[in-house]
Amino acid sequence: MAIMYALKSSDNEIFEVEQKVIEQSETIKKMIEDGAATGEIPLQVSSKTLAKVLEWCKQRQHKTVENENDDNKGKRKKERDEDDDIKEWENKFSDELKADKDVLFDLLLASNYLDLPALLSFLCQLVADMVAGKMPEEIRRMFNIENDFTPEEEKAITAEHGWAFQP
Amino acid sequence: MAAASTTTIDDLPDVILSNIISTVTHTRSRNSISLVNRKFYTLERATRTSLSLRGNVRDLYRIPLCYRSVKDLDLTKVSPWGHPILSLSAPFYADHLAQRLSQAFPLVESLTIHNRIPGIIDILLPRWPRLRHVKLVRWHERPPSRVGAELVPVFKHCESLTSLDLSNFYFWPEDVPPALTAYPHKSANLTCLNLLATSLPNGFYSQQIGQITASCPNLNKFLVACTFDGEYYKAVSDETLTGIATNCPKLSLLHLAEISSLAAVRGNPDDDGFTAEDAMISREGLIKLFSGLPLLEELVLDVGKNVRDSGLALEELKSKCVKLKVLKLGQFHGVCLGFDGVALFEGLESLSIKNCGDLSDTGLIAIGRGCCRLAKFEVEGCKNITCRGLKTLAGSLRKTLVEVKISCCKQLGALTSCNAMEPIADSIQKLHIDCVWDWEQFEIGTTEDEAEAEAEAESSGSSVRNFDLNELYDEERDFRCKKRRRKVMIKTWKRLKYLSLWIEVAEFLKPLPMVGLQDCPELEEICIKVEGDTRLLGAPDQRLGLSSLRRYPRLSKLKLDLGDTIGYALTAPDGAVDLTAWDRFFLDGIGNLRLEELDYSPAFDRDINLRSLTMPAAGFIFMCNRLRKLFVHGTAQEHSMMICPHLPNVRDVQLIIDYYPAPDLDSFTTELRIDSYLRLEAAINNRRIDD
Repeated sequence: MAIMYALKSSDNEIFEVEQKVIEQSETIKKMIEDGAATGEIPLQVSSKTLAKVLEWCKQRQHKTVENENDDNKGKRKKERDEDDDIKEWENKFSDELKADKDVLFDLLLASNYLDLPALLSFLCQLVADMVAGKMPEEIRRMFNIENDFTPEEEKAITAEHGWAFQP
Repeated sequence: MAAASTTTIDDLPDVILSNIISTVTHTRSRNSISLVNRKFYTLERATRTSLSLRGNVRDLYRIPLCYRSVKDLDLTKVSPWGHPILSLSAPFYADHLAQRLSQAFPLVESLTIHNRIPGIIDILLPRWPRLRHVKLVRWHERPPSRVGAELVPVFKHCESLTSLDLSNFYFWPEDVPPALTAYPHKSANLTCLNLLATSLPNGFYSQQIGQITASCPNLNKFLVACTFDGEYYKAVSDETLTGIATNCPKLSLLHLAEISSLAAVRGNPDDDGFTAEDAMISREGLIKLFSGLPLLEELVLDVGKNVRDSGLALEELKSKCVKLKVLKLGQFHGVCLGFDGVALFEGLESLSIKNCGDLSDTGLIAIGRGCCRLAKFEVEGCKNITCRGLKTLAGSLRKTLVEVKISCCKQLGALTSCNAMEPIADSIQKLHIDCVWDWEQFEIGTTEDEAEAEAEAESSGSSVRNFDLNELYDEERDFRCKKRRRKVMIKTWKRLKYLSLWIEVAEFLKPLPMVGLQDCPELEEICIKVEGDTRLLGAPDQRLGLSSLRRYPRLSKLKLDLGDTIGYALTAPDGAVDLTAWDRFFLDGIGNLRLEELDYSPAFDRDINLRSLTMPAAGFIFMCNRLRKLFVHGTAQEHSMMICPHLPNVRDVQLIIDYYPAPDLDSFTTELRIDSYLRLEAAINNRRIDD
């Protein structure tokens, strides 16, 4: 029987999770090891974001467990099918995030706070892909950023790029 | 809850944001990011670690100090191309510039630089004490300096050198061993040595390879162009291989290629794959090599002579080098006769088999079953394999295979190659085929295949449609198969992004869509290599047919390589035509394509060592009015290039003289010289550019 832990979000919702799933977070793993995790673990993460984080952790956990249980026979085929499934799941996951940027940034903050390196690098790649190939104005519009350059500064930076355009 | 959901990109800590920005590698995207706002600018500049410096040599003193995080600096793209970046005639000024460069890029660890004039690296290299990787570039003749003197400055000035790349450097093999032995401690620190230069007058001799590996015991990457032919002290033999394994046991990448096989010329498909002589490499020698290199991940043995019955040695390779991911074998026979040899490598991700005399369909099927992780598969010069074997291989590797090259195989022309790729048509990303229009072969060999495939298509309800070939032939009545009514499989190549083609001079591209490459929605880049001798042919009466590529909606990059097309550049004798006529043949219709980038290598006149952009060629090329980037690998005349600035989008035009031996620009009276190039560049840069 797996050990369960209760996580409490910043808006006081309780999430019951298996130890193996939540141990992916270095922050919580440390808390558990230090014995600080008795009863509910309070986290500075909203329930909406925490649900997303756990969705990711469970998916990852699922994958590693299945790989361990596999015997060698037929493993290769299974692995390949799984890779496909995971890709599909990740695509769906990232599409949802692209649509809702608030959740995306909350999730980035949460993965940083909970120390989930895999999720963090996945999200960074996702944002990088969103930015790639866009014009500055498009990026500003996408993320609601204000332009704080003076026209002179902009001109100076463009001149700097004269030394660094694509070969 | 509305108040809670207002996290924006500004709330992210800088660490995360710079993490995100450092994930972006594309230079134009990075430039764009730095223009978003001040915070983005600071973070972008702090994470820019790689820079290919552009701009003009004459302006170097104005170089901005904003790219201070750069670790990986490429100075070979400064214009005018190939011009020395420091002038040695004014030593004080050269010194000043070198200082300026080291101020602008204080952290450089990896440097790529032209070394045409000895002395420049003597000034520059001491400025960057952290240098670990140096790549030298030179396409001109080696100056007549003392043997070995060429490389001494690199070892003299770079205290922490670990990697040296001479793959684009024109030098003599004799230069390397003395430089290495003169600095034994630094040679011992080297982990990566690339001597795979196509320019070498002859490959490295066995003896030299012995000396080099003995001086560099810590190499983990070693690439060398060598010779497998000749007397005992020259040719690479069993002894050389054993020497490499004992001298450098840490190798993870070993690349030994016969110098003559490095030229990109296509072989003769009628050859049976066996050369007249055998290489001095035996099964025992190979086994000794493999046993000595347990860390090997990538192995290329491109031997120009027969290595027979290699299956058993390869099985040994599998058990000794468990990490091996990439394997390329040239002129190895018996690599896979059934379920043996190379077919047992289940971990292999990339496999390339070249000139294997006895590779059969059975072998291919075994490879498809055995090497179940292959993402890349290349086969070249194998006469016996057919569509059936390759199709089965593709079918078994449907999940992983994304890159395929089929070249110079007698029974695999364009039509059969495409047909063989049918099982992976919706997942393959890169493809190379030869444009040999093999309608007859298709007729004979595939009735069964086709019935099978049709049945499969019906049952799975996939996107396979059948086209009546005759419908496509309305305009091309003169083709050989015009009377035959038959059906060709047409599939959507959903992910195909890159297509590479080989075509013989005077052949046409028009049939390309008809071999099955009808529908490629994602195809972005096409590379066409034309090969042959126009001197033997009369005047071309038709056109290559570049405009038939217009059917690919996303095509924006074209590489047209006529570098191995030979012709008369200036005047032709009676009965032959010069290259201006042929350039009309090649380039007609290019203006109809929506090209943004063109990489063009003009045809070659061997007698006067001239690759030049002719007037008709320039005329056709400048009809591409969306062009952003134009690279011409040759010389050009000023008046033809001056059309460039009139194209609305042109941003980057370079004349790159990257072939051996490169002509001296200033010695050509009628061609574009340094001064005229500067005028051209000024004209381009003076226009307003939106991004």
